[in-house]
Amino acid sequence: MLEIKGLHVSVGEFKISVSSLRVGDNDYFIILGPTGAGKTVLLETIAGFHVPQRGSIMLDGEDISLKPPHKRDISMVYQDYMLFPHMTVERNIAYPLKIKGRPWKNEVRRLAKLLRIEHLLHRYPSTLSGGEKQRVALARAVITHPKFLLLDEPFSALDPEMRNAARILVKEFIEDIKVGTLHVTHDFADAWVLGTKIAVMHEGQILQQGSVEEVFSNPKTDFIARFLGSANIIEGIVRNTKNGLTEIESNSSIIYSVDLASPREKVLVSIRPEDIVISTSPPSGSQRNVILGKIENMRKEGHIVWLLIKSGELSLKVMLTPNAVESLHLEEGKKVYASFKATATKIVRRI
Amino acid sequence: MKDYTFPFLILLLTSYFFGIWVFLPLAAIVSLLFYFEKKSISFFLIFLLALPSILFMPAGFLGILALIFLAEKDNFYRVAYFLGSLFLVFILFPIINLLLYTTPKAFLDPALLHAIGISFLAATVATLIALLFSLPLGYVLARRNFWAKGLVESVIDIPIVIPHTVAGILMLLVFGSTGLWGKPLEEWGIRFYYALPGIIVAMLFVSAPFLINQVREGIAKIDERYEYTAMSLGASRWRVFFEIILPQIKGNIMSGAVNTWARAVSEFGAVIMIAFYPMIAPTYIYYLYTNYGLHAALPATAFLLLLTLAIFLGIRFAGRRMHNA
Ligand SMILES: Nc1ncnc2c1ncn2[C@@H]1O[C@H](COP(=O)(O)OP(=O)(O)OP(=O)(O)O)[C@@H](O)[C@H]1O
Ligand SMILES: [Mg+2]
Repeated sequence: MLEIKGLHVSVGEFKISVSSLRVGDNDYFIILGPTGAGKTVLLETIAGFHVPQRGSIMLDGEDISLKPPHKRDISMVYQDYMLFPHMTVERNIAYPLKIKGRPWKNEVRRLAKLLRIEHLLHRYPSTLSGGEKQRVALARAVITHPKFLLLDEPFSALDPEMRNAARILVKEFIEDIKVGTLHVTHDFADAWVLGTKIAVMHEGQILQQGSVEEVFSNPKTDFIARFLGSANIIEGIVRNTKNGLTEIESNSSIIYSVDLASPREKVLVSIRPEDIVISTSPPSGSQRNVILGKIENMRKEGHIVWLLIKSGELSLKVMLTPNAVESLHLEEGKKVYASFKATATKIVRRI
Repeated sequence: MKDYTFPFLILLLTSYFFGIWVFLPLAAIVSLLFYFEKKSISFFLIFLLALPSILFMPAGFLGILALIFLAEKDNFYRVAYFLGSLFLVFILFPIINLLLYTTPKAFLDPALLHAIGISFLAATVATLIALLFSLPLGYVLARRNFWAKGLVESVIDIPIVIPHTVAGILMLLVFGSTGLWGKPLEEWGIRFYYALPGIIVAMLFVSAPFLINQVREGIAKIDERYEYTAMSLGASRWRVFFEIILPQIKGNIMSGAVNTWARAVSEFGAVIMIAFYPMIAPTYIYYLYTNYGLHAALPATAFLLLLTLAIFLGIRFAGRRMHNA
């Protein structure tokens, strides 16, 4: 378990202060933050490349904040992977074991097989694709079974289509090898798919932490709300599936999705605010999901208006144009129908 | 298809300065090569027609100009080729000219061979010492920022910019028999004045900057996060240096060492200030020239030139092969 308390670090002009952060051995902890938030610096501090001014970093009960990096047993993977260009893939992966003077051939093969990079072992890093490099870096980082794993935007070098496959691969791999992981990113999808716990970081500080659903549905500050604002994340339980529709119960409302899941599975669902249609009478369109709720909050931002609609415990963020707001005579407190298609309801994660 | 125009021109122009008997057959060969490269019969015919004019040397020069005009369509390159090849001739002509004086006699001159031996030995030792110091120095300069860093970097370049005789005096003053370091060291049995160590320090002083700068540039180009990553994987700083940094700057070390060695082996001004004896090769040639005249010095000079060129080209070739591998 990694535990950070009252940590203060400065690099150049930039300061980080984290009052408390705790990542268990079974956690996949994701820190979300905009660029320049200090995510990389935080990871580098945990790995030991920056010396903190104050505070403690405890790993399995031992304060490691003054230990040299190579004795911490924490592996770090940078966003551009940093594969050693003068070594083959095999030697890259074997490197940590060679340092320890342990046999490596079999272990390299086993991991390479698990990550489907066996055929690349003789190649040099410069000849690999982004996704291949990422898997090599991951194999190299975990081959000695470190106590903790740090991942710095591991998917940012991949193209969007590959990212999801890579996320699933990493998720299964990490669950398989069981290592506490801290992953920093500005991609929400990483948080939805992988995070067992998440935090939001801004200007060197952790603003909020909790489960994915907690943070996404209850942002504590305006900044967090704006930063995470682009999606509704809802947690629910699958009731049943029939005719290609999955019925999900969430906060005593029922939501339909065309994505597949099995009954009694816990899922995380995302609905984009621009996919929700608002009407004052029951909608006549083909939308499968219709929710009657109250406008809790209305906020104008440039050329769009944000609505927060509440129906019982369920809340939905909706994005409209000022024209629509005007022609529907919307105001806070008014009852409206929020409707969206089953195809707009994405199951982003099965828990 | 490789473009041979420029090397052909250099060859032709160089031969031109050796006079008609070298130039004519070479010009014929080059024109044929041109013909095969460009596959243009008109060009070849025009050149054949221009041949008689080459019999008069000034006209030959015009012939070469005509060749440039024919071989190259772009006016900018016509000018660049002409001026560029002219300068290369300035380097190549004297070298080839001297090499014509090579005689087997030089191989048999034991004093020359001895001087060359001293030169190579001293330059090699100086390069190894430079390597030992340039690695830590280059690392610090590449990785750390500190007050007056620009000043420190200029200090390293001082030996390059001062006159060589001045560098020699600096060494003599410190390492000479009455010098601040030379005197106690001589009591310990290490003599610099008129001795091999003196040659080595003079060479080291003037040549080490090349290696230091190369190593610093090489390390600066390596992302520091490679080092961080290796450390997080369990490598100590020492390991990181020898296993991650060093293999990646092999090329820089090689070319820096070659420059340093070449600079050391060619040093004369600084060396004679502290140690005229034992003679290094340049000193020996100077000695021959001043005591017996130009013609006495020529065979030794030609031999030294040939040897240096062979080594230089050999290292270049080996370096290229290593780079490609
Ligand atoms: N070694 C350093 N010296 C001085 N300033 C630094 C150093 N490393 C980072 N910084 C500064 O710290 C701030 C935070 O940088 P950091 O790289 O941690 O951001 P980040 O959250 O990882 O951003 P991104 O998403 O773009 O990677 C930046 O303003 C950066 O310029
Ligand atoms: Mg970063």
